[in-house]
Amino acid sequence: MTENGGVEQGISRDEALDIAAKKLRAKRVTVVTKAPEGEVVRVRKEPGVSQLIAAHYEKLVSGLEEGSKKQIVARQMERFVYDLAKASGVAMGVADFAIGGLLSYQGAWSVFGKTESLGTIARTPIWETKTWKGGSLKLLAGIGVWRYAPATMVARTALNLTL
Amino acid sequence: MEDKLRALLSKIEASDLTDEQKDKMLGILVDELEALVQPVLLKYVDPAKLEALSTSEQKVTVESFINLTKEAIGDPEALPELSAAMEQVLVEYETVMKEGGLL
Repeated sequence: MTENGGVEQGISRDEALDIAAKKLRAKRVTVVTKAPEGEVVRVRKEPGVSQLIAAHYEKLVSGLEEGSKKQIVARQMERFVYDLAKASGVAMGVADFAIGGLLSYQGAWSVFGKTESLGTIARTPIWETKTWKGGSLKLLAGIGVWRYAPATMVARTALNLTL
Repeated sequence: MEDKLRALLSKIEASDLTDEQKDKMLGILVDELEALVQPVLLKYVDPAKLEALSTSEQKVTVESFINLTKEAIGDPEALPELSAAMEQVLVEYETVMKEGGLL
């Protein structure tokens, strides 16, 4: 253990955090499927998307106000579609087009914010809960709601994406 | 899942890390949990609709995305599986952080 707490020689805690983040990213699951016995199988993410779809995605969001929440939602939703198609092995027939960070998740679910109840979209994005000073309870609230983010998204649909 | 998450957060809060380091740890945790949702839901998406969507760029819209997701979460197994997968991420997170001497 170093004086800064790292277990590896000469590693500070900040460096240890970076290493930990990399380790966890490397372990990320992209597709969770069940084997016949019901065992969870892991498949890793592929770092590429279809150039064709990427072009469409840019076209789709280009008309939206830069930096607007609607644009953010649109981008994240589109990215989800890319991930789904790619991860499911659907052939797109076009050379992969690497978009930096496209598949590095930016918190799509965060944009749906915190809900007070199903169908009610609150205004506090979950990303704000990342601030430690807000306390762990705030994070828990964010995570707890995030767990039901799909339902939240449906509620968002009902609101016609009125962001 | 909530119990495990709460216990993990308590450990982080009780650690002697700086606020900035705790903030970073939380950021990592949130990122890992967020990154889990899509892969889990994928298996509940209708493959035929997914293929149709991916082969016609005109169909790739926000609405089509929402419809895919609605169908996926309509499966009663989806959210329980999501919860179980999140628990697994919490275990891995704690293991890695302990290996790094952070918890």
